[in-house]
Amino acid sequence: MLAFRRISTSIAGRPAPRLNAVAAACVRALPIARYTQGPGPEANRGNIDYNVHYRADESTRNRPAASQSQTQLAEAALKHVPTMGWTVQALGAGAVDLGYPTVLHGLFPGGGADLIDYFLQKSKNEMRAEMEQLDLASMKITQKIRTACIMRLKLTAPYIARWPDALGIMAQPPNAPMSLRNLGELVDEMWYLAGDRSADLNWYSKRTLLAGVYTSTELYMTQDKSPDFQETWKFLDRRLQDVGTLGRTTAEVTNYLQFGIRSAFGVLSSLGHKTPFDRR
Amino acid sequence: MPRPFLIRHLARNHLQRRLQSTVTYAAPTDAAAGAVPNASPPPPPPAPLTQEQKDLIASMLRVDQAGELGANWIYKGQMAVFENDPKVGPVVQHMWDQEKFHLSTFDELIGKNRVRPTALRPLWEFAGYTLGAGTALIGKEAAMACTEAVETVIGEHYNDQLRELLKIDHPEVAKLRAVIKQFRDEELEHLDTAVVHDAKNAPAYPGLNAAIQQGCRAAIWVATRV
Repeated sequence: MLAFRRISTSIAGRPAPRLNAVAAACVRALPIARYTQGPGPEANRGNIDYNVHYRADESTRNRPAASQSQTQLAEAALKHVPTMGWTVQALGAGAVDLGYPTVLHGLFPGGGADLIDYFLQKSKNEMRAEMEQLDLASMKITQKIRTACIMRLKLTAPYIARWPDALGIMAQPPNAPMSLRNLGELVDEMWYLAGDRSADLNWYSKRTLLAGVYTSTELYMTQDKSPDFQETWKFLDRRLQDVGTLGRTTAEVTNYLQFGIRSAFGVLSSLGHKTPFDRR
Repeated sequence: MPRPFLIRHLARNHLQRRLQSTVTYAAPTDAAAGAVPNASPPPPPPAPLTQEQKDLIASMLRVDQAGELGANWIYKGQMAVFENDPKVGPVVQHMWDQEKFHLSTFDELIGKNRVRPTALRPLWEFAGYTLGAGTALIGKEAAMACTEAVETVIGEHYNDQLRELLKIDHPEVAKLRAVIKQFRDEELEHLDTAVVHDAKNAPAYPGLNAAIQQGCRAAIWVATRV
């Protein structure tokens, strides 16, 4: 029995490295390998450090941070939002709680819109802080995006009854830049936390798709009466699935088109024409 | 000779102050006693970049990415024509390989530093490929004239950036300067290569040269903004 096991392991153990070697040789023989190499051996670049890390944070640039008094007032006002909505009255009530006259609401000249702006920024930063507590390295990208969305939406939960008001304020033309900027920064933060470092048009498509998913889920959440927003998370999962399908479909269509173009050029080159694809 | 005196003097001072005891007293340092003359303070941490400087560097990385993208596709277009040319093929391939490395470097820097990438990527790809393949179809000399014109503008452009970056004193910016300097040298090497390979003999050389240079400057102007 032992002998049999020893033989079987030796048989099972031996072909693996040989297979690996064959696979490696195949990969090396592929023509693509030529184009994925780094600098050629002639490049004398040993003494240069390419790891420049200055953190532009372009999409999350720091706007003038709220001053300490503004922060205090906004935090006090947020307690009144469930009853009074995103209004100057809520800011005034917050000021009274702090022991100041109601005119302190002048710290936020935009009134409700400024309070919403503060809330959106604060929630984004809280979401990031919470996400950074997690073991992001062991999670899949979709999982990270899903977790980030849920974390962020849970921060809106205490104000969900008043969130349609906020959406109305955010949709007013003068406030549109503010709401779009906040949405853009939020999805950028989510993709950055999810480990996305794309530098091509994927950067734009990923953010656009996630913005759509997030806003529709948020809208769904305002109408969700299920305990603990169970239905909202299910809705979110369905939307994320849709996006995945969309990505796959796009890739398939692109492949199909490329195949068509290549075949057309193949026909041309078989007729004796020179085409970009007849090398290799 | 003065040392025992100094120490005694300091000790007396010390005692007097302890007796007064209202003044908080910092113990005399070794440097004050003359024991360690060359203790240099640690270098202060670099001043953080201001928002304007960050924006400036971000737009630089974006336009550089767009430029390297265009350059890559120019060489790709040229290689589509010169693939089987035993003389010009390897020359263009060598320059293309260097451009590939430049592009991947900028792609990486953009991803890592959270810079918004160029939004006109398909445009730069299309324009580059058309320019490269178009000039290569006119002939080997025209292709080299195209390379010469493009690399002249890119070289100037990198020099402009280096002048701007020299004004910023920051270790990360110093690293970026080294990278851009290296790339500029390689671009100018391509320029020399193009001239050696008869760029000046291209048909309608002055017009071709001026047109491509102006086109590149316009592209840089757009890419800095979009």
